[in-house]
Amino acid sequence: MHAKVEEQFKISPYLVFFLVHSIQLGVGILGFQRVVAKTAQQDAWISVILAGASLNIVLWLMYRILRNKEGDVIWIQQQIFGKMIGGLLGTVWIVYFLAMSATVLRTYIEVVQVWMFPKMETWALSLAFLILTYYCLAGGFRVVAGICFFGVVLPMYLILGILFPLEFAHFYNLLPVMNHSAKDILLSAKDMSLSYIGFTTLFIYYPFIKNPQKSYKWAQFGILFTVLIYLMVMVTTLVFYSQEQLEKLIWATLTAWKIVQLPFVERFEYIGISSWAIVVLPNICLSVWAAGRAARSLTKMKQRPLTLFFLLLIFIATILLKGRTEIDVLNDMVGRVGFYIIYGYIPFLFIVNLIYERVKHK
Amino acid sequence: MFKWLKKKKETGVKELPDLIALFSESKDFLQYEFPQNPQPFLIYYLKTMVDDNTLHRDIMPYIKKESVQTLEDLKAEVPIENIIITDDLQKINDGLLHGSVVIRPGKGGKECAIIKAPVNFTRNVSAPEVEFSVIGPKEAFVESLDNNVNLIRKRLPVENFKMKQIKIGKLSKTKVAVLYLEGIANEENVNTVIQRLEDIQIDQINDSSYLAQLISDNANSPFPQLIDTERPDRVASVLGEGKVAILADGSPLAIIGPTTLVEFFSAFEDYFLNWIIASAFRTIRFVAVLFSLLITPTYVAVLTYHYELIPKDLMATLISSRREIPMPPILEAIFLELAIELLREAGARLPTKVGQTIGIVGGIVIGTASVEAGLTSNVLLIFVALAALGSFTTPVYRMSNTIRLIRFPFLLFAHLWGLLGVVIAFCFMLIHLLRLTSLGRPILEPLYPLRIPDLKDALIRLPFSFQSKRPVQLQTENTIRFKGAQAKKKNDFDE
Amino acid sequence: MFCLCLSLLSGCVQQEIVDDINLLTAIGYDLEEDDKVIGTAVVPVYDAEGKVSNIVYEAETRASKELRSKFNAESPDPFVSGKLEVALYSKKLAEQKGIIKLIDALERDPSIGSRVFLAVAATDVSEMIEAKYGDIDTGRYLSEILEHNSDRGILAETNFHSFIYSYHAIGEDPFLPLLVLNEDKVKIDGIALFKKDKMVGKLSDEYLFTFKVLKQKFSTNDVFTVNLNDDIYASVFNIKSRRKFSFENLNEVPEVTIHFSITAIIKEYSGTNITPAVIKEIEARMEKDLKKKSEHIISKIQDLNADTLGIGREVRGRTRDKWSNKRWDELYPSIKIKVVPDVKIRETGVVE
Repeated sequence: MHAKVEEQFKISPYLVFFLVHSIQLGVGILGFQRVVAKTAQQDAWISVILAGASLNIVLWLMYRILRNKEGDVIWIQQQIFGKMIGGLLGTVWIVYFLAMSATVLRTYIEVVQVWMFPKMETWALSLAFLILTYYCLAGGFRVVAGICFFGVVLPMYLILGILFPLEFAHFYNLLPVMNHSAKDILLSAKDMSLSYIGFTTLFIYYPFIKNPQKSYKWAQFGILFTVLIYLMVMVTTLVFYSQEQLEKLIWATLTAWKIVQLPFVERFEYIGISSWAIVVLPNICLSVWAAGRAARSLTKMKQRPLTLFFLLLIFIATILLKGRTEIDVLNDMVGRVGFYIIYGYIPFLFIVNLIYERVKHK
Repeated sequence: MFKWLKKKKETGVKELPDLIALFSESKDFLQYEFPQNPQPFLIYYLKTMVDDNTLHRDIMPYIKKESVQTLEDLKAEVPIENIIITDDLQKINDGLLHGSVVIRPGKGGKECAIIKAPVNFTRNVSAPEVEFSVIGPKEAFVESLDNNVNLIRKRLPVENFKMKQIKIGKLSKTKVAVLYLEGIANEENVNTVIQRLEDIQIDQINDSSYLAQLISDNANSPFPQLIDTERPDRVASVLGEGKVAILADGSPLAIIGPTTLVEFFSAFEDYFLNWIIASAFRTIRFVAVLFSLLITPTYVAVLTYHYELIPKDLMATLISSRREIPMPPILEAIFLELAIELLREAGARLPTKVGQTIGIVGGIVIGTASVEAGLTSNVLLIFVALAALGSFTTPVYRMSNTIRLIRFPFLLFAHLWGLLGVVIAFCFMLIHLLRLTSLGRPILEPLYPLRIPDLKDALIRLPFSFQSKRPVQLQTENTIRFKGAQAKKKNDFDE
Repeated sequence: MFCLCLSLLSGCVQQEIVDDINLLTAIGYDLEEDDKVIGTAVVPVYDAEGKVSNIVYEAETRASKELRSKFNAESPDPFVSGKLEVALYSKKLAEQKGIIKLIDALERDPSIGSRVFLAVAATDVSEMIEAKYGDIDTGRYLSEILEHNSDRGILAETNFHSFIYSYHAIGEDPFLPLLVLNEDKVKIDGIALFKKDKMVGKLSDEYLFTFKVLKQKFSTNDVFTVNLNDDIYASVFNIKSRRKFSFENLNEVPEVTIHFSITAIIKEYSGTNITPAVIKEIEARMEKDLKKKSEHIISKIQDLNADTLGIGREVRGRTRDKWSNKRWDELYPSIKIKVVPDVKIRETGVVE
């Protein structure tokens, strides 16, 4: 039987804005520019918008699938595909969420190691983050939503850091506009969509929303806000760097922060990297929570031991991953899986669900 | 000390003489006989608990009267209300302990009259010391429950002002009152408070702070979850908002809840000042608290790891101030922070006048000397002193203690991982606060869950015309405080 | 117990306590006879009273990071480069070897800021770094000369970021300020023009202002003096300058026109009265002067085939698809570049 979520554990619809936005904005934004600008170059900002716009449709599909259901996607899949295949698909979700959190955590640790503390032990920082994650998850979904909320609100001052490089902006870098073929721009948009993934956790926390359908507009706003932020960062990057310079930069956002100079502080990137912990933490919390919750509705086991087990898995994964190339491979893999889920599986599920609902009604 | 009580339990008092024998072991227990009376009475009381005046003016003359023959006669004659005639040993026992005079007919008979004649030594209502305000009422609670309730009731002359009373403590038997406005305060909050008070298992309640700790949602949190105040005006005001207040007999502090984190940083004086000024002061307080919390950890982090952050104009000052100092920044900071804590603790334990001297001696002499001796840098000295000042701006004493304490874990994290450590410590605090509740209501409200209407009286205080609704957080039964003024027509100049 | 905790904790990451490190503030590279690079670095030492003395280290090397370990061997505290203010390259090094290999190390190192100044030293680098400039740390002294001149003065905007920006950019070549040591002072002597990472020529200091006008939009407090005739001259200040390109025949051989408009205020006038006619004349003189100097600069960079003004990049921004790097390289020296100056005097000071 499917367990209903008690009213007291539910969250207000507007929080979906923060949940959707905070998980989209992870470590990716520190260095997505190079990959996205590779094919579309100065037109990369169009790709940012295009990829963002496509999410609008995906989100609509997601809400349409979840409409009138009281369960999460795991439950829906088991209803539609039966116990076996549904269970298998559920496992895929769990693995995906776990891989997502491991990637985010490991990439952030890498940033810290490259930029701030070359001698930082991976396990130490990973442990600190996972303890924080557990402490957060133990407070229930309301606390997870809370940390997402503050993960968006508190680091707002970093936006200033994005604006400072405009002092050295060369706006002609954006010219000529639309000088790339639609194919190039779409290819870049595909690369861009890798940064946008993650909001699929909505499939899991949907039953935790009061008046879930009312949250639709908030989810859309969340995505819109993400697109705006990415767009801002992309445009700043394009006008701040020359194209050939950008091609060499792994973390273009961080490098851009180096130019910030305030009377009381120089070298903003150190503040930025440190503050980014507040941005990364909700990411990990939400995806581990989603994995735990999904596993719970799949296995009917208690969420606490499951979560502890998952945290252990992530801990081991972060230790085993060493160096730039391995992390890149993982990032790429998770991005690709996310891409297929968003543009392949979700439309598929939508159609199957439509048929399922028709048949059931008859 | 309470030997007699133990003995009573061991032996089991069955008869009145046994009880008398038990009490007789105490030196202040008196018993007299009036044999010359036509009807001889025996009289018992605890000398230390009975008011001499009442005894000699209102009781003694009537006992000696010829017309008084029985206890009923006595009850009719003596001008004191609520005289109980009973043979219940428990009641007699309680009566004696609370300052009643017990009178028994000399010929025997089990029934006794219990006449209340308690003596009350309480200090007069005086000006608040902890929550002093320049403007506004200068009344503070005293150690008597009745007196305190009186101070509040005077400000809320309405019939739905309700007071529930419970006795808590096996030994102290403290009277605890729960105050609220019926029809405004959420029933659930009141019930939670009463339920938690009834569940308390303890022998003594010596102050209402015992209660605050015993009924708080998470006793293992350094953060207070209920506000205690010595101002009757503040209590009256929050009762009007729909909160619940708890008073204990013998304690000059009222506890109010449910509360929010920002409330700990709002002084009641904020309501006496113009809203612009009050908001500015509140903002200053928040900045001061953040500053106080983060400045020394940031100093340690930057000087230990992030020399790149220091502007080049500041570099020379910082380096030369630290040139002669042998200790790493963390030890330097902990040394100074501890020195300040020592000064504070010494000042708090000593009588006021000596305390002030200690403050000056400590502040100036130790500070200057340690800089000159090369133990600490003068830059850090300024930061630590400012941080201490910042923490003292918090109006609720408990909260300022918390802020000073949690600075130390921040320091350790700063030493461990620099700025990243500070952020991680901050995340830890944030999650802790997110999990924390006050009587079941989230303590970070109105920030999270975000309740925009409640922001009117949180980080800033908007004018009273904006305050026409009660806080959403309290889920009050009547949300309207007063009807907001009707929208004024926008007039043109000089019209 | 407490101390135990601390010692455990401190094992985790590398500490760089601010008074236990050697902050490199300036570094210079020189080319020796047998193709060896000599690195010279300066470290400020602050005493408790806040006085500064400078210690200079010297070592020869191939990779610039190798320098640090050589310096470390003779220093009481470890070297860190996070506070580097200035990197100097000798003219010889910049002309013969190119500087990109040395710059690559700076680019790769996350602790180097983007506002570090790079400069070419026309006189001996190690002398410039070893010289005493009074009670100030050498790196800061050098960087402040460059900083205020590029912020508000006549030096075109330059720093580490803008150098690698134009180094990597297609259709633009970088430039660096050229410094000379003059007794015990350092002076900006002009602009070192680069083709990719090699210095190919220089503009002398009289062209600094005009170069800035051609290069970027700016406002400055510096004074520009115009000679009306032999003994009458006028100085203008508070100069605001804007620059615009226009192109013709983009797809074949582009013809470029650089328009710039300058507004200024008269600060000093050695004649008797400032009449509208005089103002007109000052404006005309300035225009003529700027035009002459601009044409000199342009013909020089075209001769050197160094696109310091970024004209290629402008052309590229305006052509679709047809752009080709190779073709532009061939075209650039021969394209026509016209200059159209426009000077306006807005105020004449507080006296008539």
